[in-house]
Amino acid sequence: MSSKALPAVIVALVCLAGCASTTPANPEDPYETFNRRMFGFNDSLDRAVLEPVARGYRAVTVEPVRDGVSNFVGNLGEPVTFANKLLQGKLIGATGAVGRFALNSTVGIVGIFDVASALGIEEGEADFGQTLGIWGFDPGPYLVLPFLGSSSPRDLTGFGIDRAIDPFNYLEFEGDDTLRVARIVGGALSGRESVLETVDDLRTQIDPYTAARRFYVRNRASMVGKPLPPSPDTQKVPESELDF
Amino acid sequence: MRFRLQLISAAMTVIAAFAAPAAVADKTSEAYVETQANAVLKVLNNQTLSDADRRERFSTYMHKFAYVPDIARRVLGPRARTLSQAEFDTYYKAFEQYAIAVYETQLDQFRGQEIKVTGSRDDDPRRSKVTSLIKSARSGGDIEVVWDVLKSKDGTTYRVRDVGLNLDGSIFWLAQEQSVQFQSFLDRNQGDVGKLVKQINQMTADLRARPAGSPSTIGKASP
Repeated sequence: MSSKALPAVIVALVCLAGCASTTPANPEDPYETFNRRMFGFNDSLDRAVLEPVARGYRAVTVEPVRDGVSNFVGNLGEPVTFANKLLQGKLIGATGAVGRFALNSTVGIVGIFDVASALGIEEGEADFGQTLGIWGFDPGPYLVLPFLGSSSPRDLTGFGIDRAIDPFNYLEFEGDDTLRVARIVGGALSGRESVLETVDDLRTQIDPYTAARRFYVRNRASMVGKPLPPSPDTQKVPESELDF
Repeated sequence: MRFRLQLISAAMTVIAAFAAPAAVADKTSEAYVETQANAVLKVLNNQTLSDADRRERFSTYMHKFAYVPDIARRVLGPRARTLSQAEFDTYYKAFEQYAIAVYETQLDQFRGQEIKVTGSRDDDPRRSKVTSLIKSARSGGDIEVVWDVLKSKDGTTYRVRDVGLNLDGSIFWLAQEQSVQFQSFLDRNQGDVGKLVKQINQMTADLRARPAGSPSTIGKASP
């Protein structure tokens, strides 16, 4: 986690502790009141800043340029992917991350072109929250954090560890600060642009917060190889529905 | 040895006798899903239709595939039993229009594509889960769509009970997800179904008014 994000997270956790003592708990979402406030805050921020900027970015760029930005940012994440794949015992995935980074950084011109995917070495996602999950740690309660969005104590810890082990946060060379800023700005722009339609769809839901929570929790459970069981509704059909 | 062979043969005959109807149900439900889903996509792809005509045909198909009142009741949960007929009718009208608007918008990303059924399994003689693939114009990749299909008593017709999308390995059943959201909304609004109806109508209006690619305003009304 960057040093700038840390104070916000601490404030959020202090608020969270306050909310915990006053809010009736939903067993699936004990910090719902706090989470909904943060969800609203992030949503307002998104509508005011991120979404318009992302739409502008889409309007003034062509797809190959956007792909280049996305590839560049993604390539800088390969060392962290490599470390996590290794920690998860996925040696083929770890080797793939090394291969992708080497190929895309050189032949792919600092990662702008995804040569590795063209050669069949597909991108694999891995983060330390996922690693902790694979090691057997439960995620804990669902959290929505200001600026960061959906998370959990396990994934928040993983988020911090991923930043701590990221070599690009430590490397010193000419223009290193520019690279770090470009990565943050490019990552935010590219990431938000790629989910414009998904967020639009989310906002067509009766309760976007609940939709986002359920998607996050189920998706993370699948990512650690422990998908949540189907609800009883998928298992039994009432007799009344079979009467036709 | 001869006795053992006879025993195995008899056992296989018994298994086949039970297995055969299930296999037939699989194939017919698969064919049903593939034919009907592609018919819906054809309606969406038909550029000669006006928006109103397209919506009307889409609505007709939806009522042919699914018994919408059952879905509406299931989505509303236990509170459905507490409503008067008039209250339910008001809710149902709003739900039906919202469902059409949502599915129309969601299916729009599959325009120009065809659904291919990849397999199925029978949960029981009258219920199958049919799995299919369709390419999304939005992501460029294949999306797995699972259909929860019920077979009529006489075995001549089917109803789609729910549609599931496989998102990164998790199946999201649309009616089920909607139900959780409706319950959550009602829990936060003292169980006031009138407020829910108002919200549903607002979302339908927003969906219909949304021009493609414009900044979204949808969801602002959510409490």
